[in-house]
Amino acid sequence: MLDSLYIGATGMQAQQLNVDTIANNLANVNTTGFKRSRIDFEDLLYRSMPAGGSAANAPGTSNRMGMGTAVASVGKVFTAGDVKKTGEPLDLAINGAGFFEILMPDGTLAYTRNGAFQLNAEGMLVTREGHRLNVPIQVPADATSVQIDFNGTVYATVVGERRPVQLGQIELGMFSNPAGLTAAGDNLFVATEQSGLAAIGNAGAQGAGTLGQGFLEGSNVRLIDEMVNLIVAQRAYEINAKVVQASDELLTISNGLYR
Amino acid sequence: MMDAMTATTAAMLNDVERLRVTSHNLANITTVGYKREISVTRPFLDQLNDARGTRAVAGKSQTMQTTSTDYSSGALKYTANPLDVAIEGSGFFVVAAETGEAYTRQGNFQVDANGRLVTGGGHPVMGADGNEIHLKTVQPRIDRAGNVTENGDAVGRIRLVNVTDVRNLDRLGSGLFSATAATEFAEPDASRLRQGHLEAANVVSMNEMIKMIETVRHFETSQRLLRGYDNMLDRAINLLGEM
Repeated sequence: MLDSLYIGATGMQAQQLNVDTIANNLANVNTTGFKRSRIDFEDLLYRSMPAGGSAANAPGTSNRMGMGTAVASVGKVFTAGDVKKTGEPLDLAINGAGFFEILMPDGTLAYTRNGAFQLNAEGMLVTREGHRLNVPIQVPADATSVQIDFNGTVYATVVGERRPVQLGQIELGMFSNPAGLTAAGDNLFVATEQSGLAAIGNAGAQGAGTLGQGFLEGSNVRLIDEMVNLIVAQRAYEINAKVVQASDELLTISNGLYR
Repeated sequence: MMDAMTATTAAMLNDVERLRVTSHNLANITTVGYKREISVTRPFLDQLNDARGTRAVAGKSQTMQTTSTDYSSGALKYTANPLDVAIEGSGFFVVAAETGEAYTRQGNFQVDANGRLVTGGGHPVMGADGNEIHLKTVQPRIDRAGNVTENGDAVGRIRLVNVTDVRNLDRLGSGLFSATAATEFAEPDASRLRQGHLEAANVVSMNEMIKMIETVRHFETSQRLLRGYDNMLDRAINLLGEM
C-alpha cells in the first residue's frame, strides 16, 4: 500500500528488539561472568524506482530507494567485566581471553566465564548448576586447602603431606570468534559454526588469560550506557510509530478525495 | 482543467515518495554509519518531456523523485569495544562484498570463525596490502592510521579510501556503497581511525519530523485543491447542462 507504512513498521520492530536486548543486559547487571549483548542494524535493500524516462539523473542522485531497517547481527560483546575479590578459594576469574570448558549431563561441551565453582559430593570441581569441568579436578576429602595458580595448576594441601599435592590442570577454551557463540542460558555458551571450535590450552599460554583465585568476574554491562541506549531505543520506537501514524493520515486524506 | 488535476496528482505522489524517504531515515536512526537519504524532485519540465516521449512504464506511474545521499559525518559514540572502529573525517573502509569491492562507514567489526576481520554483515574487511586481515584474538589494537597489532605483533593495516566526489557512489543497502564508472579514489589524508568508537547515523530526528509534518500537510492541501477542481467540474457539468 504505502511504502512508508511498512518502513515505519520495520523501524518499530527493530527498536522493539533493541529494547529486549537492553532489558536482558540490565537484568543481568549483577550476573557473574555475564557478557552483554549488542544488536546492530543495517539499512534494508534498495530497490530501483522505475527509471524516469530518458533524461539522465542529475549528478549525485539515483533511482534507488531504501526500504527500512533490519537486524544485521545480535552478538555478545566479550570485553572484560570488573573483577571482584571474594576470597573464596574455588572462585576463579579469567584475566584475559578464554572460557572454562564444562561437560554437560548429555555429554556435550559448554563454555563459561563464570568461575564460581564448588565441590560436589564426590569432591569434583563443579559449577553452581553441578556440571563438572571437562578435564575433571577431584579434591580429596582430607584436603585442608586448595591452591590454584595463575596458569591453572591445582594443588591441595593434604593432611599428612608436607608439600601440596598436584591435583590437575584447569584448561581454557579459546575461540577465534567468541561473538559467534550461542548463549545457552545459565551463563553457558555453546560453540557454533560462526565461533569455530575451541582451541584448548593452559591458562596464560597462547593468548589465553590467566586465572585469579579468590576473584570473580562481574558482568561487563555498563549501567549508564544501557540507560542511554534505552532512552534512544524508546524515542526511536516512538518516532517510528509517528511515521506509521503519518502514513495512516496520508491514506485517510487520499481516501477523502472521493466523496 | 485536466492539466491542473495532473499536476496536483503529481504533487501528491511526490509527497508519498518524500514520506518514504523520511520514514527510511527514521527507521535507520540507530543504524551504525547510516547516511541520510535526501529526496530530490525532478523539475516538472523533465517530467513533461518524459511524458511526451513514448516511454511508458508499465504497472507503476513514472516517478518524479530521485534520491541523493548526505555523506556528512555522524557523531562518534564511545563503545569501549576493541572491534569498533570509527572514521574521523571523510573516507571509507573497503570490504569484499558478493558483487565485488564495496565501501562502508560501518565500523562495527567482528572476527568470524576463520579469524578474519569482518563487518557486522559478514563481509571481510580489506587490508592495505589487498588481503583480508586475520586475527588470533578479539582484542587487537588499532592505531589512528589503521595499523592492527596483536600483543605487539603487526597483523595488517586497514585499508581506507577517499572518494574524490562522493556523488559518484551507488548505494547497495546494508551500509554498503559501490563504485560507478565515474568514481575516482584518492588516498585518505585527513582520515583518522578511532578504536572503541562507532559512527552514529547522521539523521537528525527533529529535521525529519518537520519534513514529515510538512509532507502530510502539503498532501492535505493538494487533496483540497483536487477536490476544488472536482467541484468546479461538477458545476461545469451539472449547472451548464441545465442551462
